[in-house]
Amino acid sequence: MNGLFVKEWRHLFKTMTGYVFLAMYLALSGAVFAITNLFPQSGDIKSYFSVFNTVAVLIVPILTMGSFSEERKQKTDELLLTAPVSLTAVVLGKYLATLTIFLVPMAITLVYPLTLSIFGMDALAATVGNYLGLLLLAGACIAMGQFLSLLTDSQFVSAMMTYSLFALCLFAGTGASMVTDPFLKNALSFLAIAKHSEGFSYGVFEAVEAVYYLSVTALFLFLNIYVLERRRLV
Amino acid sequence: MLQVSNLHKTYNGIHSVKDVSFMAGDHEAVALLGQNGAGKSTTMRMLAGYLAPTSGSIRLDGLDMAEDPCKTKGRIGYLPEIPPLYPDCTVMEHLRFVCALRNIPQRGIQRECERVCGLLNITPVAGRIIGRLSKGYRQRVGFAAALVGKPSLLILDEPTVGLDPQQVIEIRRLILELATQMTVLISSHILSEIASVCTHLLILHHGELLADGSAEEITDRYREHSLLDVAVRGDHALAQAELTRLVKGMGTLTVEARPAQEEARFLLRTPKGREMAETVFQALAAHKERVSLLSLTQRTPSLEDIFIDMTQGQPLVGASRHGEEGGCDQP
Repeated sequence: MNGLFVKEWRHLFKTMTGYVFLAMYLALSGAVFAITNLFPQSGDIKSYFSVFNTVAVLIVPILTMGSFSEERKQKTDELLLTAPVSLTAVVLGKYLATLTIFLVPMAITLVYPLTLSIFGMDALAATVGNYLGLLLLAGACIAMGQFLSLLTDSQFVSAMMTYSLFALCLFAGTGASMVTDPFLKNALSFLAIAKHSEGFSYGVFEAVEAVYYLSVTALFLFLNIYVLERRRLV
Repeated sequence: MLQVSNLHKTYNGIHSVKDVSFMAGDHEAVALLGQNGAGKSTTMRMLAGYLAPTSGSIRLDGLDMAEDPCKTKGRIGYLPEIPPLYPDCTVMEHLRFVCALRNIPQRGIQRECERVCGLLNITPVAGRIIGRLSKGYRQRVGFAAALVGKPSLLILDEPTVGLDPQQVIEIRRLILELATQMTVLISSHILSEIASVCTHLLILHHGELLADGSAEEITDRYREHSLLDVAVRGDHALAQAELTRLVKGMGTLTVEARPAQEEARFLLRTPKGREMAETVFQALAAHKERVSLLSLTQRTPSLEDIFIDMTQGQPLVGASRHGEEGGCDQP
């Protein structure tokens, strides 16, 4: 799994994908921080995350669109699947590599709460909660994106499918606030993946939401392994 | 020792490999022959662990692929028809990754990469980006990757495709050398290549194993057939009709080639002891105004003839003759 982890890191930064992701993440997060905190002179880190969590969802496909689709297109999946490693190791190696790449710009943005703390606006619990919420959200989105990347050998199709799914999840949140039927409201709220991170924004550890994200992540990682195994059998 | 038992693969209800069983000893070079779509690549993919068989078992050195896939795959080196390479990596980076995948200890990776680079003569391009290498070099990098970890079974699917003649000779020499250290399973369309490298042949057709043995064993089994090569000029249809009439009920007729639309060559297969040279000569001589007999050659079946016969008259790509099925009686 270590070899695959290192290969994924190297691949993302050799093909510019990693740099594009870093540039977009930092540019968009900087813009959101400026709009939500710097210009209005607000020390509330929640307002930054309330916007950026949605934006982050839209950056994830840059990392995941080629995860499996490129392997299939270049036939390198034959190398991975005939190597003495389990399918679980292949899926987890790719997942953890992508997740840790996501952590790099996330760590850089720690400069935002640090900046706020310099001006005396210290809210450690809210900061930790919001970063944890974003991490769990990104983890679930990466697993979903990699699953969709498994279904095609085209990066473009993979990206479009991932954006469509994420857009559906984001619109589900808006839809939930507009409908009155309790069942439909609950169903749409469940699908609204970014909304579930709001619970963490006050610095409270929301076990229910954590379980939700971890369940979504586990479900899609399982589906990744299942699709790979199914492809061997069919 | 490779033991394949009742291997079966079904895709969407279509049987691409049917009940294939064979054994390959240690240090043996085995050839898997067959036309396109015969099931060679599917069989190789199952042996390499890329595909799971619908039924049947694969055992290598006592390990079962279904029960212990990781350990079994660890003993197999596999070079598919299209080498699985990362075009943005350098040759050395790619080999290092393959070493890591194959659990080579960190301190031994550099030595292993140098060893396989040396075997395939790719040390001069070790620092180059794979995507910028020629097809021949890419094939050799794929071959080198398959040799990482000194597997006990090396599976090579069309290993010389894209190589120049000098490289083909080098690869053949390497395969012969490797066959003294491990079991090598090669698929190829080129019979001459197979004949020079392999001691054990497997002929697949429509997913079924038609022959299993050494070239001598297989040809001996076919010695009971007699082949008559007939070259004519003139009315081909009349010649074909006449020959069809002659072999009816006791042999087969194959249209071998029509190089210039003037000459036609036919191959008559009849059981040994029923040679027909004289009958054919007389039959065609009766139509000498419309058909000129250019040559009449009696010959013993070669491996190529046997292969064509087994696969119903459709020659291999790259074989010396190009023909079509005569559409006559079966023996």
